[in-house]
Amino acid sequence: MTTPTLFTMLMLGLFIAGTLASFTLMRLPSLLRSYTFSSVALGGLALALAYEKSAMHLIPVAVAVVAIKALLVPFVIRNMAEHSGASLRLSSSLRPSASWFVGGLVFTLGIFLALRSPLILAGEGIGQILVLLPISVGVILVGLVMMILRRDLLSQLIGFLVLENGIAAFSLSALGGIPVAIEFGVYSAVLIGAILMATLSHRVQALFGTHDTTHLNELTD
Amino acid sequence: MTFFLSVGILLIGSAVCLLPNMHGRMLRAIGLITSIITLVTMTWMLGPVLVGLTEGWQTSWWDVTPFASLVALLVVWLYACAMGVSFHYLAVEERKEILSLRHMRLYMVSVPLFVLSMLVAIFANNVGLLWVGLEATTLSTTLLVSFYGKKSSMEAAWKYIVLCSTGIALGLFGILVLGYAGAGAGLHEAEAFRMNLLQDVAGTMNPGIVMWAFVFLFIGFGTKIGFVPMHTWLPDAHSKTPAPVSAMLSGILLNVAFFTLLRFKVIVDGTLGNPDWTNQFFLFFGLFSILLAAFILLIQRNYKRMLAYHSVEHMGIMGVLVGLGPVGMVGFTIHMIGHALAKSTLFFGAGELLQRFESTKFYLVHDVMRRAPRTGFLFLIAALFLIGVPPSGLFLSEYILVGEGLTRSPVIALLALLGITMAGLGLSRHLFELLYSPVVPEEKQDASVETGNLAHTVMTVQLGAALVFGIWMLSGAGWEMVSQIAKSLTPL
Repeated sequence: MTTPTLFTMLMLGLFIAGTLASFTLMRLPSLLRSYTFSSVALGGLALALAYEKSAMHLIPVAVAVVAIKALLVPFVIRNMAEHSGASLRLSSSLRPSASWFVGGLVFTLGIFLALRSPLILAGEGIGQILVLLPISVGVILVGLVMMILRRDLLSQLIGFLVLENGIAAFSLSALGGIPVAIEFGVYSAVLIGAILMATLSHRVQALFGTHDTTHLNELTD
Repeated sequence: MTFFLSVGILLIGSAVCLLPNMHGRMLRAIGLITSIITLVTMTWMLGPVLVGLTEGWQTSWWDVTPFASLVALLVVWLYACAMGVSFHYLAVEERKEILSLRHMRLYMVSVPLFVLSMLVAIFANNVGLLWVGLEATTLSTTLLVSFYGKKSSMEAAWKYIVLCSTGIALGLFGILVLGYAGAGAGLHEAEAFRMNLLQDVAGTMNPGIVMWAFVFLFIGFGTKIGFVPMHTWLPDAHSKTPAPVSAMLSGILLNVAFFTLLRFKVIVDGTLGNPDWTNQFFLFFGLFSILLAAFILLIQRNYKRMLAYHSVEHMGIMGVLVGLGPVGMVGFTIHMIGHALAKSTLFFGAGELLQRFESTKFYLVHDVMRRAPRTGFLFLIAALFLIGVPPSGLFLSEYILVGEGLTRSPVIALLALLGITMAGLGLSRHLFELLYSPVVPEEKQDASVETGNLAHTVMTVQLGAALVFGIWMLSGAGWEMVSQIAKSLTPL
């Protein structure tokens, strides 16, 4: 098992802080900023791994993470939101103060579950940045809960992206990344998915006059 | 080589529709021609593999097996049928000015990409590629769910993309965990993503990790299949797309997702030494899907949603069949074919009803047998096939469910039988009201006299195929071949 370098530790800290802030913040610009920070940190972790393991194929992956997740996706979402005239104030089932608590709790639960799972024990000797493995499970859980608790389309979209960041972190941690061709396929799918979701939220805003998901209640049995 | 030819045809067929100066009829003709050429080339390539005349082939990226060939042939068959129906369906919508040229272009660009992504998911030997293919099926159809631009369409499209993408993302996590187990068993980075190599080392992988992986794979791909309680997007999405696309979503996409999940099941079973643990998932979620769908079918008020809930029920039946072991797998294969043919025919019929009576609500559509006799008759026959009335192939698969189920899991078999009966009664009750009840003042009174069209021809051909298949299976002649195909998927 490798001891993480100072740079890796810094990136890990930024990754966690960005994720928890995404869970909590209630204004779109600040939410996108925190998501950008966590995505940059993910790119940094890929770079750290490329350096520590001499895995040069991770350098283009790191560049793609920053280009797509930290620049392109937030740009698309901000652009769509501004053009649709949506309120930048987002809505959630939780108050901001309670969000910090719930976010921290969910994240800790994710880490606890991962530590209790066979993933860690079996990871001895395989793991690339083993400490990232339980963190990635925590981030996945935070993204999932964020999608459930948030009540507007844009926050749900960012919740999905947070979840996807957790999965990308897991692939770095457990497997040292996935084959580059597949990695680009996955990022393309994420990018197209984000564009489609942003387009739909734009249309929903135009039709319903709001992004609030509580208005999407016509289809019932 | 023929496979890449089909890929090229689909890409060209999609790209050509982006050219300017195309009018509606030309776009529809290109869509139909592309689908027919794809059907011919894929049949040429896969037919011999399916009937056992030639061996399948495998590379690091692709794996062509008899079962994969069967699913792919169903895809291209339904694609050709759906484009045949679309030729007529879109012309009517264009004439009524419901659709513009922009809509038509979107339709004709998206559908070939949708078919291409299904084919990639079916034949991928690389699990990452498989995931990309499956996710692409969602991305290529999202704008078709929001096609008509109504509030309800937007709601359906949002649920569709969010729930399916989240589900598939969890499936990706399961794939990575499985790759992690493969790495632990000695596979290198790229090798840990190859299905055949994972299968080779399955016996030496860590069972705990593999079980974790399967839980996420089941939740993720189960969302795409429509297992209860991950099904909530399905009735909304399948009822809001144009009818020919609904036929493809319901008739074949669910089967493609099911097939991909079964490929992972084989690996997990190899690690655990037997299929008992994974079978429990299929039995439990299958039964749950049958029962919930059956209750909702009794109170359903919309015929397109009714058909969508029937898909949930049929995925449940297929889940229970998988859980019943090797004989159940033969039943699964029969059910998959029978369901694909009958359900797509019903959706084609639903499109005809919607265009004629301008509503999908039961209380606004009556006396179809008199006012639209062709559609009514074909709809009735397809519905009887769907509920398993002989000589439907579904009769045999449901007979296997009960017969094999009573031996292996009597409680589950009896509850499943109860659910299937309730669902059948629900369908029959609504169907006879739709076909024979007198017209009420609230509904559209001046529907024009029905004349035969391409949709009726396609429905007749589909029912003919379902009839031949049913008789072939019930006579016992097809059992050996279908068993061989099923065995190519689950050798255990």
